[in-house]
Amino acid sequence: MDLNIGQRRKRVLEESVDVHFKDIRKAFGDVEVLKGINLEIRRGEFFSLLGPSGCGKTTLLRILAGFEFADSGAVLLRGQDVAPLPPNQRSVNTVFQNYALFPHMTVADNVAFGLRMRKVPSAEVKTKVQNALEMVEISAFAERRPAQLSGGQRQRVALARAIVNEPQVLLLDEPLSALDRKLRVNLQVELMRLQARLGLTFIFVTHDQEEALTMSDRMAVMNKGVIEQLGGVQEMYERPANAFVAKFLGSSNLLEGTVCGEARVKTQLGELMVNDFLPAIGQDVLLSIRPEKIQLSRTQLSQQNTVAVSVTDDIYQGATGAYRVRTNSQLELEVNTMNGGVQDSDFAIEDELFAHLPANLIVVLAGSTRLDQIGEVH
Amino acid sequence: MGLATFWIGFLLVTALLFAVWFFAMRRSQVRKASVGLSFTSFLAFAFLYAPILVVAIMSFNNSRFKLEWVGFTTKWYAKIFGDESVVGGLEGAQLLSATQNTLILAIISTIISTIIGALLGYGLHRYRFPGSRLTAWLMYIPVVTPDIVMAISLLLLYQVVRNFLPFFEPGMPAMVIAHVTFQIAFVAIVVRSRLATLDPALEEAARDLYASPLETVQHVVFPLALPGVMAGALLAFTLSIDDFVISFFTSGPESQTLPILIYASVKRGITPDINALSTIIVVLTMIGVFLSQILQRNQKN
Repeated sequence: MDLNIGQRRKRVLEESVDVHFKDIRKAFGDVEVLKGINLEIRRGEFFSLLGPSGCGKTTLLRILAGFEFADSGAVLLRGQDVAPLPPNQRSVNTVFQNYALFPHMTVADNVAFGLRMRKVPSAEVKTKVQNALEMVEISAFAERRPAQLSGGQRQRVALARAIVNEPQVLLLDEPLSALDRKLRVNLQVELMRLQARLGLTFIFVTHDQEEALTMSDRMAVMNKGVIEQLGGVQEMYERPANAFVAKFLGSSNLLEGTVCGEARVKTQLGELMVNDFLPAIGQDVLLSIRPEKIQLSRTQLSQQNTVAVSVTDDIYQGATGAYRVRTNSQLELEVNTMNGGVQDSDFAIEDELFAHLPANLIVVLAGSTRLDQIGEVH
Repeated sequence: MGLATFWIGFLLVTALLFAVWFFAMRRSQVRKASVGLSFTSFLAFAFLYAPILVVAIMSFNNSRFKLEWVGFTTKWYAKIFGDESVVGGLEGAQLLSATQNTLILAIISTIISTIIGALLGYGLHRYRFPGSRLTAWLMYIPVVTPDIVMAISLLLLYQVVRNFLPFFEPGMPAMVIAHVTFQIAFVAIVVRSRLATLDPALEEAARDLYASPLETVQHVVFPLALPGVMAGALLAFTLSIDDFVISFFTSGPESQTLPILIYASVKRGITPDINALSTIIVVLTMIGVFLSQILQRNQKN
């Protein structure tokens, strides 16, 4: 009886998975771009694939769309293996990086293309196109050619052209990267609203960590063909699994150390209290703390986890301030403060301060424990 | 009219033409053209068009043999279109059939070579297959091979094949095949370079939006490649009309083209009615090129 319920629950859970990548491997010549990707994307979620260029995220998307074939592994779309289906028979639609609008067609014809190819009756095509154009607020441009539109307007057309087909999954390949910052932020908000309204599964590929953090429910950080970490946005920012995620997703101060007692780690800053789970005494660990979690003060507020530092760089950024501070042991730390916040945050170069690293905000990273083994992260 | 008068007149006309050219360039360019650039381009165009201009002028010259200007006349044109037209010692019926042959040859070979050449251009653009690079390279051989070499090789080939296929007897079918042979390369090169300017994501977008491979070509690739296909067809057509050497080697007694006929008559000396005929051909070609330009411009907007 119990087993039965268990099985039923499991099936319901499985059914709510929209896309399932099973051990996907792919190589171009000698270069392995995907090294066994396992990933489940749930129905109706806004999922981001985040990583530096060349990490394999676009290839993964193209395998799902049908433009590339995996060397091994399977892609299930709502439980069905899509391997035998050509791109035109998959219920996924793509918003391309440079929009790929058909230059010889009007906006309305661009949006109608998918419906016409599926032989939808023309009256229905008309209303659906109209609705889609209204949804992205470009009805006024229906009879224009793509060449007569601005970048942001083209982006909306590309979006309308994809969603009008009501696909099971919408794939977005860095769709905002060609736009200027202000427009990008506006479109981010609109995309999120649209996604919530349509209840569609969005898979969003980007190399912009801010974009991924802003928009996604969950995300996977990819690097060199593997998934470094997978999870909810907040969880991944607050608790990065390894040095790559810590540095790629936002920025982090990394500290080498050795466990020297119960919740104690010996580092270049001296002995630090760490609340995070630690390995056995004597083991090496790599610690991470976000720049905005470090508290700077002129007077020593606490005995614990506090070091004397001097300011080396003062970077004014408007709403936030960024400081580089140096300890007596010549270790450099990055610290961010809010401008005009509660704490005293107006420091100058060569000010002698105290930096406090709260024990509950220090994260123990998995993987390599030595800084010199971590490559540059871009 | 002495020699001095001629030279003064010549220099005055040239100076006037250059002045017109120079101011036209100054006005039409976004970045104003310098005197040097205007002059160089003027010279280039002058070299290209001066011979044609001389032919056109001489076709209105009221003199049967002399190369100097005697007086204005349209009688050479009247002669071509007259009832008992004899041009360059050729009968009107001969001329008419040669014109027909030229046009039939040009139209049929252009249609065939445009279809095959466009497909070749698309295939080389779209697919990588064993030997695709070699094919792309081989495509340039008909372009760079001298006409005479091409003509002789075709002649030899035809002599061999003729033993099995009567199709290759000297005459229209053999000429069509010969023209298609060199036209394909030109069409394929023009179409391929047009396709290379298109975003490869466009085809993927069409496939993503439920178009089959055939529908993708029909609705996206072909309409976008059309200016290239048209340009290629026009080039092929012009090359065919223009061709003398290859036609000469493959034609039969019933399939004389205009260039062959003109060549035969010119051997007996250039007559003004040949000038008139040449001028008509040039004007017709110019109208054709002009129309295709307008077509392409409309398509762009």
